Amino acid sequence: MSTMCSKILASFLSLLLLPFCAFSEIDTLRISARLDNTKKQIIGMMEYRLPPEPILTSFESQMFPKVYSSENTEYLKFRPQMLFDFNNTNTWGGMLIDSVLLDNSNLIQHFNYKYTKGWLIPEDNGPINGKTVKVYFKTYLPRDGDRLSFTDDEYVLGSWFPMPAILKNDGNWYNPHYGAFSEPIGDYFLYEVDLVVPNYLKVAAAGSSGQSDINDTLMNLHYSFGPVFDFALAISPYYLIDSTDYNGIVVRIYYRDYEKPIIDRIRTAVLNTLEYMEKYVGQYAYDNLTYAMVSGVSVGGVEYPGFVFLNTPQGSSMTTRFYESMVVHETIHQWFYGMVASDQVESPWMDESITNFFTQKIMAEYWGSEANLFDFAGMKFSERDNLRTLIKTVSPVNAIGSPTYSFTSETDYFTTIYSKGALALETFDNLLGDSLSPVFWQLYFELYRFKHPTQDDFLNLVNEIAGEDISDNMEILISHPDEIDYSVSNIKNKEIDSANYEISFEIERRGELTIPIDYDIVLYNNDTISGCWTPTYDCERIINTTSSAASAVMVDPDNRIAIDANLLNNSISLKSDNGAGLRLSSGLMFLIESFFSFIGGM
Amino acid sequence: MYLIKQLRYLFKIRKLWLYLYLLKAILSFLITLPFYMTFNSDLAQSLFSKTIARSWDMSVILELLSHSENFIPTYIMVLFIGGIIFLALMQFLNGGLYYVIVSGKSDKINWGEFYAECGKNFGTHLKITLLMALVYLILIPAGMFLVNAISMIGGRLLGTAALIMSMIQLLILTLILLAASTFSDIARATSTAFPNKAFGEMLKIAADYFRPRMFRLVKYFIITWIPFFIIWMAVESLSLGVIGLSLGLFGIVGEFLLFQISAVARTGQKLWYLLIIGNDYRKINPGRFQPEQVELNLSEK
Repeated sequence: MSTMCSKILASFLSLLLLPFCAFSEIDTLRISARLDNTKKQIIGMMEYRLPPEPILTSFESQMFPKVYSSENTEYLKFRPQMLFDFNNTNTWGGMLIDSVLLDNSNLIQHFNYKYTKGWLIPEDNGPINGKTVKVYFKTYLPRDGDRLSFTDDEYVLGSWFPMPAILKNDGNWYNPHYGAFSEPIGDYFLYEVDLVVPNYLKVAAAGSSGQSDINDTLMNLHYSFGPVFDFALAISPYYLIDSTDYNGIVVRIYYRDYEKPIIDRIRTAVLNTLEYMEKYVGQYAYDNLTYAMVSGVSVGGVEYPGFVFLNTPQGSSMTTRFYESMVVHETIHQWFYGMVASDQVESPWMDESITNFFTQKIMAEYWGSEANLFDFAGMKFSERDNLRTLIKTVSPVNAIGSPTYSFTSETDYFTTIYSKGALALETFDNLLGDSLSPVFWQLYFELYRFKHPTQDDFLNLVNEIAGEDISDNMEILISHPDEIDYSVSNIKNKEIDSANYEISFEIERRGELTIPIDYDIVLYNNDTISGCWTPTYDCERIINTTSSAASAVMVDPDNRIAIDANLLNNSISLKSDNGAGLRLSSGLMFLIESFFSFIGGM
Repeated sequence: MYLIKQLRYLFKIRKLWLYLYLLKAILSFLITLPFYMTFNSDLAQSLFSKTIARSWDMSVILELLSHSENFIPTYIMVLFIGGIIFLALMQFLNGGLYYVIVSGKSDKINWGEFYAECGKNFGTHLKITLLMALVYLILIPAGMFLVNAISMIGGRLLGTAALIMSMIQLLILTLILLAASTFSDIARATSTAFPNKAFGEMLKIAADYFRPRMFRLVKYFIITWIPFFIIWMAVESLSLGVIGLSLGLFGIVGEFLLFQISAVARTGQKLWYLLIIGNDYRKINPGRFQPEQVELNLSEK
């Protein structure tokens, strides 16, 4: 089915399904702030007019910078490098709320907070709808953080102001708990940001700014951008700008002079991603997409709506395409995280696994499927190999659908969500097939753009589009932590008469998937017979009568079950061929000889 | 011309060359065997592994390794023990090898003398290896710190591209390690020329020799390394070509032979380099290899 047809079908289905989705008007959030570059602080005020409904008796705010406030915060629990740096330099982050005004009455005595959650409950307990909340804050910047950081005179500012918590339809606030591996989320607003900075600094932000000088040393920048749920900035005196227009979207890359050689590669990765995502998922919603090269942050890249931080490339990233892969990944987050804001804390797979699934597709589409990460001396390595390498290390405790706070180690989180999750999504996408896949993703994007879909919303849509079978199997993929593996063994040929053979073999299934699975029987006369096994039991013997004996059997020959834990046991051949073993051993022997030459000099 | 002349000597000691190569190859072969025996049946039966016959398909290699979580640590231990055995054997053989090189008696090797020197100097060569292991342990992190600082300053001040800075980093670190490795060769040559000196004194003589000649020694190493590097690259390229021809087992055997040519060339490169520096060393510090003093009988008649 052509992309155009799938778009038409997606639009039609979205019209049918739209009445089931709640709409809400997008409010404006105003922020006025000043960067104090000597004290490494931001001082400012966030202003928000509370909506007329639902009835509100309280206001809640998120104070994300407090995740950097001490060595005991849950956010820093599995970030030993950051803890070490903060301890070493004694530059912890944090946030102080000076005043909380409700229609100009200072109610700071009624404002309480714990960790990153702040809440205001006025004394009279009456409705506060329509009133304007002003929160005066001071943000302390940590040195070498991940989302909030400074190095000398350069600043990485993500989630730097007090954000309103997410307002639910029943009038309660959802204020996420930022444990290890969590990423900030918020409600969608139209942002009006005024920022005062020393005028020798160059500021990268989502959207373009209006600029006016205050005096000889300070300037005021004004940004209007939205709807988004966060507003990030990167500041450096050394920034140069690379600007490209892509179908009306201005792609800006802020870089330092020494990063110039990588800019072409970044731009190509961004444009490829924009092209692919707009074609297969949906339109990018804003006029601007900004990238800022930063140093000193402890991660490779960080996504924000309309904005991406990219750590300066080092070492092997310069000679492989791991850097492109990271740029593609962060750009896809503009769709799954930026425009469709699932709850990363409760369902991290809904942005990271989906994003990694699309990363793999884009890398294969533009850089080839065999060696899109590197191709050196005959060694080929792809994004898919990268994902598969790690799935064996996944702990059987956590399912892909587990919340961030249930993971007990960094390895467990990243392998489960980023690797196994992406392969589960690929399996799901294969089950949808070429015709339904674009319909599903376009509709999911269309329905939940600027909203916060849950795991149930996702599964309900799968049910609507693809039916109960695929929906049930998708639920198994995300809810069951067990290993999924299909294997074939015990192939036997029995001559019935001179014209007929009985071929038998065993197919075994591990895991709970209930979908029928394809198999191919390769005959000695080079014919191939295809069949399909609908599992009733975990292991079954399949018997076929054919005109020639079988030389091999392969289960799931197209590798639709991408999450299959072991691909070596998916086939069995009676024509034993030692070529692979000999060649690998020959290569290994040469490696060992080279190692001996290195250590022993000969 | 001088280097070419030493290359001719290399072919005179071709038995020693072959001997050292075979030692390396046989030990490597023995360490490779458990790998082949463990995985061959899995690979032989699976259609998924067939791509390995055409390319180093990482998806197959990783699939294989990711299902062998118990094998990998055991095999790393085998490799480690193999490395220790090889290092120990080399310390034994270094006695004879440096004797041949520094004495200049490379025209015809007296194997009895060779092994006698091996036994006699084993302890000293082992000490030099342990000392150099300590030096590398300190030098690598210190070198990393230095090159990181240089690249950071270079990158910021000069606006140099990250890729160029990464290459400069690698080059500086290689040169630092190369200088250390060259010093270890000189220390071994010194221990051969001055077998009766105390270890500390021997190191002092080696350092005195090494300091003014460090750049020349590193230059010799690099020059002798270039032909090996060309052979190595040619082998890599030819092996891909051979495999690309889809000759089946013949292709694999062809590739194996090409790999071994590269391994032989690497041993030859080191021997060539040692012949050059051994000859140079003997001229300055002949030690026990001083030509016999002939007393001229000029008595009056």
